[in-house]
Amino acid sequence: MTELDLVGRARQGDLDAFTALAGARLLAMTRTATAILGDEPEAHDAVQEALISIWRELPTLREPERFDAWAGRILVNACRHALKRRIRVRVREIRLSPEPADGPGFGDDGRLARPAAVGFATVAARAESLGDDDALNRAFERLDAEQRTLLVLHHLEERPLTEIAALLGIPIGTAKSRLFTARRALEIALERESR
Amino acid sequence: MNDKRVLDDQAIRALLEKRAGRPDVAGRLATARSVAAATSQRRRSRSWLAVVRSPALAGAAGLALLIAIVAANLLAGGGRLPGTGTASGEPTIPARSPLSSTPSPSASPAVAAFGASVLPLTVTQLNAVLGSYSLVGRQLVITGSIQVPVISSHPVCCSSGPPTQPAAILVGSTPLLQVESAAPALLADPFPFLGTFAAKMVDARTLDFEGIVTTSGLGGPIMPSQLPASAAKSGTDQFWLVSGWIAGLEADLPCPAAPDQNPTGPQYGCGRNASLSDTGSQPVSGFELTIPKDGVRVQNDAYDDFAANPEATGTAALPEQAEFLVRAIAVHAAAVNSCPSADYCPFNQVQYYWAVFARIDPWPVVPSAPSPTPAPSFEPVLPLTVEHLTAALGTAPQTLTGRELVITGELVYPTPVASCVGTVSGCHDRVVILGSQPAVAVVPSASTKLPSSLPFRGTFAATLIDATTLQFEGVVTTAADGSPILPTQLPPTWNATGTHPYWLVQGWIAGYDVAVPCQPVPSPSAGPQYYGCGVTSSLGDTAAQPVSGTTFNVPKDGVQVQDRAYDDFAPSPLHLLIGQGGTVPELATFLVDQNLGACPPGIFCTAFGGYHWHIVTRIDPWPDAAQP
Repeated sequence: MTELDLVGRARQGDLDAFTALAGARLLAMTRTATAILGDEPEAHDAVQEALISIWRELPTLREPERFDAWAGRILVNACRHALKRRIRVRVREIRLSPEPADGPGFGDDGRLARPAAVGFATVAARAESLGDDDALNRAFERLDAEQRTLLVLHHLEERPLTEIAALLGIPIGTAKSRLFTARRALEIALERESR
Repeated sequence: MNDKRVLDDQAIRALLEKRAGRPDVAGRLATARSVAAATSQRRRSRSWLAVVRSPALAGAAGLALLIAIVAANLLAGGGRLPGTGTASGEPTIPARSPLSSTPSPSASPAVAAFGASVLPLTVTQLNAVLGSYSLVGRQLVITGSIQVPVISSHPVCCSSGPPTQPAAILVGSTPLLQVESAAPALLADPFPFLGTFAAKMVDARTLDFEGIVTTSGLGGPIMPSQLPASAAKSGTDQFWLVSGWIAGLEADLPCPAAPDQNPTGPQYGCGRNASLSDTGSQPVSGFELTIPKDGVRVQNDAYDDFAANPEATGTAALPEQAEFLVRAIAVHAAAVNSCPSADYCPFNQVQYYWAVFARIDPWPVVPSAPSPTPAPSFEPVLPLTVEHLTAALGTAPQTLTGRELVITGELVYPTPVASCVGTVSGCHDRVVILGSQPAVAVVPSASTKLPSSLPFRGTFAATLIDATTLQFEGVVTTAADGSPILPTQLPPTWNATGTHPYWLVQGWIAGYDVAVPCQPVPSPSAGPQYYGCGVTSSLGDTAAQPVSGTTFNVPKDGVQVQDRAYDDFAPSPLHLLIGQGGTVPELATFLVDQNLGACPPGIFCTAFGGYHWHIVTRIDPWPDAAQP
């Protein structure tokens, strides 16, 4: 039985078909939610919430062949809701050392060379100097829901931009630019976490 | 400083892998299944009819439901839905539950630019779309003409026409679309109907007419605020093309109790209230939807059913802009029994509400058709002279082999007769074209005879069998100078018998571009047909268009020729794309004869003995070497 058959049966209220669909995605959904939320129990709740929404809303799904993107979108929305419900925990920032006077973006010849790469290599090195990836993790926590989602979909799930765009309901060009923005935001957040 | 490590893709992926980890999902699937088993799927048919009249009542209802759910959960012993525990032990509720009533801060009014309005399809656009896409099952809004075909009144064999009323058609549609209606009264006379209407494609050849659509003065959609002030002022069979923002509750508006009857059809009240308005303001606050001043209430679930990308924050759906078909519907409150409260059943007679009938998606984009190649300037094709025939046969005989040739020359017995082997009578078949080099023999076919009186000088039709043999077809009538005649120079069909069997005619061929449906012909004859329905064609002196809507009128300066002649013989058949049902007339030279007996006895053949003009072939320009 194909997945489309399962979707069709689940739409008709077949609980076994729904269980099969959910079972095939449960681990991946939980990993995605955990990566976005950074908290496994919270991720379990988001996945649970998403699965119930999927079950409940299946009869209204207009295009069964797009079930995967539709389910992914519901999961992403559940994660967004979870983030919005969360009480933000302020992170105490630790400054290790002052910024070099000449700035990180200048090479030995005094010209601005590879400004971003030099800068972030320095930042990453500082983060590493903390002894682990906590700085990077905290930097990720600074990102908003959409930025986290974009990075997870692209780097963890390795979905192509077309799928990401469809899943988020935005044009491909928008997905591309927002992905760039998300990555840039992570770099900036990492820089701040590393000070 | 270690600058080897940069924030590259690998670093981000490593971070996310670490965050994702290997979560333990044991037992989660069973939990999800059990929760799903306890959760009903949302169906289109909603709960019972009721109208919530005050926010206070809605709030009280929500509180009552909250208490009921919490109590039920506590009685169940978990204090939470099965399997939804968190690390903190606090219960969590599915997002669409009425309990998650706090709107998210991001539930601000959606602001989106209005896209281009979806305008009704013209028949030309519809034809173009149909050429590339299947629209079966899709809701359409079309501006066009619906008619019942009128067969030609020209006195041809089938002038009596189909005895029964044929189906209505969409004029100019290709393929020709029949228009039917599940509610025949909607499609009643008088025809023709010309305007905008809603229809759904039942199959590739049939439209289901749903009703007349009112648009703005410019043919586009109106705004919700432009709908009549009261739905009661709109007929329930009247559609309105509306461009607006649809919004609504994304949580069921709770009611204190449900009646014991579950009515069908659109609901207004408990459930997911929805509105359609000019602007994208958010009409939902908590559990209450306040109908915008620039909008109207539409049926519950309209948002979920018709928004392109239903999304919600809390209880509020994110407004979406689109084009909709809207109509008034009558709700019979009396049909709902056992109303729990007068507040929910405030009326006992018919009430009218606006209902979204369909969302009109943008039509598929169809690449514009390449412009027709301009026809080359036309030169009449003159009969071949013996000199040109000889030249062509001497250089490239294969270019003429098998072709129907029209030749002006003299047929004679060969001289000396010694070239004839056998009896004198046998030598009669060995006629040659005088002056041809080498001598080209002309032989009769099984159904033709050579001219009875030789030598014969004139124009005749023949088929080249090989480089030295022609098969005689018949004598051809031409103008005095040997050029083609005009269609109007053809004699009346009933006077044409007994003369030469062929005519060389230069004229404009035209016809229907679609097959006009008609009653099935009993025992249709083989060969050319002239039933006045189907793909009727004509040959005229001028490029006059014989088709008007669904009517085919044989041009006054022309004659009717066999059905499908246009598609068979037009140099480059071009079908009109202006929705008029006709083809683009084309000029060419034809070999024409008469056809007899195409109509079987009966109602379809009552006049003029069944003689019709028949295009045998189109005479293409000869090869260069043979050009007269």
